[in-house]
Amino acid sequence: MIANVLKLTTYLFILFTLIGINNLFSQELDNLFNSSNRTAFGNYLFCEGDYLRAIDEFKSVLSSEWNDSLQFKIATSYYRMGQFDKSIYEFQKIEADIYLNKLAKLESIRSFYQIGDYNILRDQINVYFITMGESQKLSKLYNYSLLLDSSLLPEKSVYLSHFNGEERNRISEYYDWKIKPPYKNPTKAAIMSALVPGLGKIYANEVGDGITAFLLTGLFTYLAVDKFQNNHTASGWLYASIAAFFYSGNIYGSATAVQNYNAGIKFNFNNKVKFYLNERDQFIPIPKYLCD
Amino acid sequence: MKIVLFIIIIFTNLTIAQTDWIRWGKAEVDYSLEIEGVEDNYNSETSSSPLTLLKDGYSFLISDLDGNNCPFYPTCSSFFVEAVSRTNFVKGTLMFADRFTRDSNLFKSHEHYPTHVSGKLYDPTENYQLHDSTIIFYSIEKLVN
Repeated sequence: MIANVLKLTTYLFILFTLIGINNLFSQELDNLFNSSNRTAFGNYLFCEGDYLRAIDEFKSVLSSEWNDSLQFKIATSYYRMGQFDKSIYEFQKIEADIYLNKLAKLESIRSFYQIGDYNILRDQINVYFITMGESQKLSKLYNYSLLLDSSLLPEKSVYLSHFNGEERNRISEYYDWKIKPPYKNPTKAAIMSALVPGLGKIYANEVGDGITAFLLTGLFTYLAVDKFQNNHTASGWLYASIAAFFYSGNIYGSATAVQNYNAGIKFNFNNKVKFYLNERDQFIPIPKYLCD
Repeated sequence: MKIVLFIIIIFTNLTIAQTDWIRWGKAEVDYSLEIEGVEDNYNSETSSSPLTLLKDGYSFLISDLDGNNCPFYPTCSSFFVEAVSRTNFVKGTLMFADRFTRDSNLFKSHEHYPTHVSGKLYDPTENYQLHDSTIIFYSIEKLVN
């Protein structure tokens, strides 16, 4: 009897000990994953540049309590990862904190610039002007963005009124470029190649292709003429067909070569403007974090 | 009681244990590396247009024996098929004639083309359709996917 009681007591002791240890550990785990720890860990990951995991930590904190600062960091993380669509979406969620709301609006404008959606960028700047007041620096970004898409530019004097000093001279050059870009004419290139095979390609700065086209067309034309003169009609037509193939292809190719040349000119101009803007952080102050 | 426990253990073991009906043997592993960005030469199984058959015939009879020597991506034969399918036969042929001339460049002056991940020069059909809007201009420093 006594032995049975002892055995039962031992079993109960083991059972309660196990339950006790389990509760103890689970409580510690709860403490470990509390909001402040997750925020601290998220901040650490954010500072280390591990943005994807930082977002996970911040989002898990936000699921229980809203915090505009953390939301701003989530949006910034997406921006720094180059996911500008998501960063815009996350920046739009910040409403309560007036200071962060203003920063979020500016960062959204920066994200639209990175995406290359300059129409919405200008709309957002206009909204900012209405809600936050006029900003001279944003006016500059607004006017620079007009150079980057197919928008109509205002009168030169009106356009330049936003700038002064050395920047005014620079933007004046850009304005002139945009009004009259140094493009070449595809039709002119095609006509040149029709007159002298390869000349249109040389006009499009593709000298090697131009000389090759001239030699190929010339060679097969010569062979065709020679065969016809010697009454070898079949081979004459064969060479004539090959000559026509290169001749017509070169006329067509000269026009497309000029189009590609123009695309390159436009690309380089846009890059120059963007480089200038990026050097100045798009005229929008960059938010500073403790770890920056 | 002991017998019941013994039966439970044996039964559990039998149900969870891994079956061994398939004879173990050497696994068939393919160690060949895929060349990224270079398309399959033959696609007649999915498309059977005369042009595709012509291109497959060229690939089988000439290209495979001669080697993949075209410096461009897509290759000249693929460029022709793509150009015709995206435009029409006449325009596609003109695009191909131009590409063939550029491929035959005696001076090998190809410095204005960006590089494709396959290591070839990237020269897509979009840039030769006579539409400004379809042209995608890449910096020559860019490695195109």
